[in-house]
Amino acid sequence: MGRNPKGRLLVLVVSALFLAGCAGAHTTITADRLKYPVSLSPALPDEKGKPLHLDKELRPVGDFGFSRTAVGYLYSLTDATIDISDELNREVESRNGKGIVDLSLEVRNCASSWFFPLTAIPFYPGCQNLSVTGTVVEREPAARDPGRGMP
Amino acid sequence: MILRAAVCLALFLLHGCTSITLTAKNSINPVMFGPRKSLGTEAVAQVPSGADRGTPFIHRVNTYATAAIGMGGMLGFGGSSTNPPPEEQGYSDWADNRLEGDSPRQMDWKVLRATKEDPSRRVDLESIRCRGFNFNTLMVFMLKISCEVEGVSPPAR
Repeated sequence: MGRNPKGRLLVLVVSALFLAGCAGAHTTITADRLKYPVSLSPALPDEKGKPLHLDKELRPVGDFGFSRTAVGYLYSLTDATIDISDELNREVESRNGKGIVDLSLEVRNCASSWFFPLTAIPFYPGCQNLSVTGTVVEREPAARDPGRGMP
Repeated sequence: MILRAAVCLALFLLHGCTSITLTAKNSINPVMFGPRKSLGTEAVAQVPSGADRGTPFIHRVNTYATAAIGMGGMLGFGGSSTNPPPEEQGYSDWADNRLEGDSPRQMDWKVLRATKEDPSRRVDLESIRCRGFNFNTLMVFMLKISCEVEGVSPPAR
């Protein structure tokens, strides 16, 4: 009971320093094996490079969304790569589309990165969640062949 | 009991409110990700080299949140920042740029500048890298996420 208050404070500060935790991840997002054009905006280029726009020359055939997780170790120092080519190719093919517009990538740290004091362990896996959304499109028939149907 | 509730509230707010969204939904230019493909063709466009490569596109965004708990109370703050387009780096108003949460508009703005407001140009993204970590002690909780997107806007054909 008669302990020195300064000593208590010192113990508290040292304990706090040693009981610090950190977890996370470095993530590189790639899509090198895409078979279809994918844009983060509502526009895709045609064969000549001219932009085609959603709801004008491009018709939406379906929205999609999926999530992936990248894991990091050593207090978030390790790198991880998330390749989303296969998922994006699958979304286009399942809807018979020709491309993707309005691709959105939302990056968020995992809730497990808060699991203190486990995060004080170097090999505790931290992670990042990647949420991907977008719209699969095809070309409007009129835009595909502007001459067809004209008198 | 109050301390536990404060910790739960801090973690909920930090985790729920902090993310980065990369999109260009307000751009009229194509912002291509992955191989340089066009609609209706399997061919991949060639990458110009040297000076003909086009205008560089760089978009960096950081977001962070911190909460400290003690004496039955909680103190929290956070914010976001982004880089200016290359040609506007000298403008002082960018130095204090602080965004409330995600701001997809910032990427749109950089697309507009990289394409020099030419609707026939596109942006080809070459790399997207993100990093994030949560740091915590008994009483301090900190979360940070940052992303860097690099690419190029080739000259109009």
